[in-house]
Amino acid sequence: MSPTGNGHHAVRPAVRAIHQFVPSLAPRDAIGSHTLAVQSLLGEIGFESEIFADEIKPELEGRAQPYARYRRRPYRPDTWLLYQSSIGSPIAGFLAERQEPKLLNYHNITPACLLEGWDPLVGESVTNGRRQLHLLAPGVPAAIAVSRFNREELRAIGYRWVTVVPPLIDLRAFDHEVDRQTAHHVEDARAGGGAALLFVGRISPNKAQHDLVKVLLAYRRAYDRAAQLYLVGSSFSAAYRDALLGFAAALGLEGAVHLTGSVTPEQLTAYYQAADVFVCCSDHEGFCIPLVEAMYHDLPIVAYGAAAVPETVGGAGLVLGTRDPVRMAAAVHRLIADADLRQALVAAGQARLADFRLEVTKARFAAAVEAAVGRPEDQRLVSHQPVDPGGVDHRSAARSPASHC
Amino acid sequence: MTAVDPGGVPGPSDPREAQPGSPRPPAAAGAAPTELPESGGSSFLAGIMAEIDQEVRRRRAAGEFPPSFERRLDLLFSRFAPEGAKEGHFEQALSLADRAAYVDIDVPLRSNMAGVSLVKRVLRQLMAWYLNYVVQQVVRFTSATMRVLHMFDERLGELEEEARSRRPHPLVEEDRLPPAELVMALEPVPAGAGTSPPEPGAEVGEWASLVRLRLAGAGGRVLHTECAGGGLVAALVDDGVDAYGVEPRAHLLDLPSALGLDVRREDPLEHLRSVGEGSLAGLVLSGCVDHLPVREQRALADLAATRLAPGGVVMVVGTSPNRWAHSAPVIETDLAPGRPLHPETWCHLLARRGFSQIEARHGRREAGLALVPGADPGVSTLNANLARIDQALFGPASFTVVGVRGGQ
Repeated sequence: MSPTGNGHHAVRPAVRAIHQFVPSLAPRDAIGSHTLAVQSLLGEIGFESEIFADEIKPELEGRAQPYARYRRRPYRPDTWLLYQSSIGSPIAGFLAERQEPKLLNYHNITPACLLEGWDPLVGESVTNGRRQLHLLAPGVPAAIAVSRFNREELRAIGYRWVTVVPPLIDLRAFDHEVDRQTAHHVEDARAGGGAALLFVGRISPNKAQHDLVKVLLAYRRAYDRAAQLYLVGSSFSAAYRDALLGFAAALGLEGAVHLTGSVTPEQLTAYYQAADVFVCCSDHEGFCIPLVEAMYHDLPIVAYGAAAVPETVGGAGLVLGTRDPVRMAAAVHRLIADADLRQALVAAGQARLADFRLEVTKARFAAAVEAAVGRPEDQRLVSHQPVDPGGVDHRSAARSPASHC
Repeated sequence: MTAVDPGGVPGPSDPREAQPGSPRPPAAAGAAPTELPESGGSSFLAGIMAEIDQEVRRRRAAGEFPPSFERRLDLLFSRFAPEGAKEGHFEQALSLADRAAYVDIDVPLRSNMAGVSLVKRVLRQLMAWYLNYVVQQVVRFTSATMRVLHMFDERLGELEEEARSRRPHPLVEEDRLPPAELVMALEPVPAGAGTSPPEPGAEVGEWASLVRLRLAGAGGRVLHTECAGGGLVAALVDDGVDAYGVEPRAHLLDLPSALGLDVRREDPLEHLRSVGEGSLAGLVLSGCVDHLPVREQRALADLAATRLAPGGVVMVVGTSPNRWAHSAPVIETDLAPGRPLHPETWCHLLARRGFSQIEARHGRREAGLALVPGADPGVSTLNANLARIDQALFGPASFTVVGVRGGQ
């Protein structure tokens, strides 16, 4: 059923175009890649689609236009606007004023309480983003959330028709040559017998890398004095990065905690290939693509079950209900020491990847869009299928975002 | 394909024999991958988790991790975090407001379109006299507002400091430890040291059996505050009750934490405020009811009325006011911010908040003054006076008040 009602599309002209609006279009960025994949998909199913952004990285100039240019375009009843929401942006205010019906694709906005103490300006930006979700709700007849966790957030705000489709990820994009130098660096560190624990994601308070340092401390004390922790990702906050380094140094772990900064795809592949376990203590994730990437690289996962993490892992990893570093360390050790368990979880990860294959997510996204805009069933290019996602772990209890703040 | 036995413990019999540093086995390549049991994946993983829990308990019991390991790590990390990053955001909000209070008149001129920068520049110059006039007034207003906010902050800070000095907050003690001492406190403790279980129900003395009786079979979480050494929590857990405790004095938590009890270092009032409405099946108030100011004791009663689910039981275990006045050290009683309320007062407070089946009980009396033998009228008078003195000085040491939240 269409969110616009059964009879609505009888009077509404057939939808001709669905244009996307995104705060920032950047290469090697999850939302940027998703936006480009969505554009390609919309073309495949017969919609014109352009991308408008507030910020366009130089590598992608030509793929998008400044959103202000859309101001000149007159209202057209056969056009929908699709907003990729992940942070506060002036685009939201702009869209709220436009007459066209809107679709929201929600990637989640980190609760301000996790960030504002470290960077008040970013805190204000995410607060603004959440305010904008409220602002947009009345003019958005349909929304697509990348996880059930996100869907519940939207429903709590008042979005009535929300379906879940994971982000459009081309898993083949995870395939890269291994950067030899990085691989040797990790192997050298392992020469003393130490396991390599890996986390990939921005160095940011909501990713709680400091909790991973605690896990490393506990793991080294109980099991492996030479273990190393690799934190791959650029810094979101200098204050948090400094705190993380100071904390590690105070614990005598300065040589064992490696903050790599931003890396090339080849270096990233080297880290995934060389690590023993992917560890995640994030407080808040709307989906967490690195978990999928870890599965792709056969790297078993130990994670704290916050927000959307349990449903993304979907039973293909050890998801703990606590961040107790001793318990996390014991879980890491269990995965490293127990080859059968490791193989079982890696196999489960491979099976889970099937839910995220691009052809699967594209079909679901297309079905969701066609249902949302009320395209008559007989004109749909994608056969309709249930858009509520399967393959998620319904048993996993995620913490609600309210529990953060 | 090889299936993992869900009931067994796959892998090496002793996980410590594993070689963590050895290269990662090519799990999905070469040999056929092992699969999670098809029908019992969740129970298989639950079994693994249970074994991990056992492993953790074993290591904690062996003293490899001091009981407050995680809490002290949190405390240590907070030393490196900006003020207010972990709790309270007022400073940051104020700083943000300070920055936002300044209005920049120099609008950016950059543009993606050729020639537009020049147009913007001309416009900016043409409008400068007008914008300056408006912006000066706006900035004057925002500066004055911020000044008031800072004065308010200062005065509030002084008040908070004064309130703190009147009632030293136990949570602050450990917060003042230097980082080096915190790191030392993370070291392992000798095996078995300080891990003998607390006396069951010791914190509520003679009322332990009554508390256990009233809360047996509670259909939800039961909170004990202040739980001190966790004896009552341990006893309730033994009875199959989902009990936990909060206690602001950090040093008291080492032992119950080591035993795996769910005890948290928190202020009782703050914790109760953070608990969801109707989420407790039982609430035991002890310790805090002896020393909190009256206003806060009333707040405890308010919170009991909202945090308990309908049918939930509140039990107040307090020291009798008479006994407290005569037995506690004089300086402590004189300078205490609060004093115990009479059980009758608790009955009144709970009744006003909709509790039913309210019942007060007095504790045992200790041996008092011996009466003078004889039937002489003078002796009778003397004994009557002795009885009055006895009542005043040696009344029951403690009391309990039980109430059930209405609305079931």
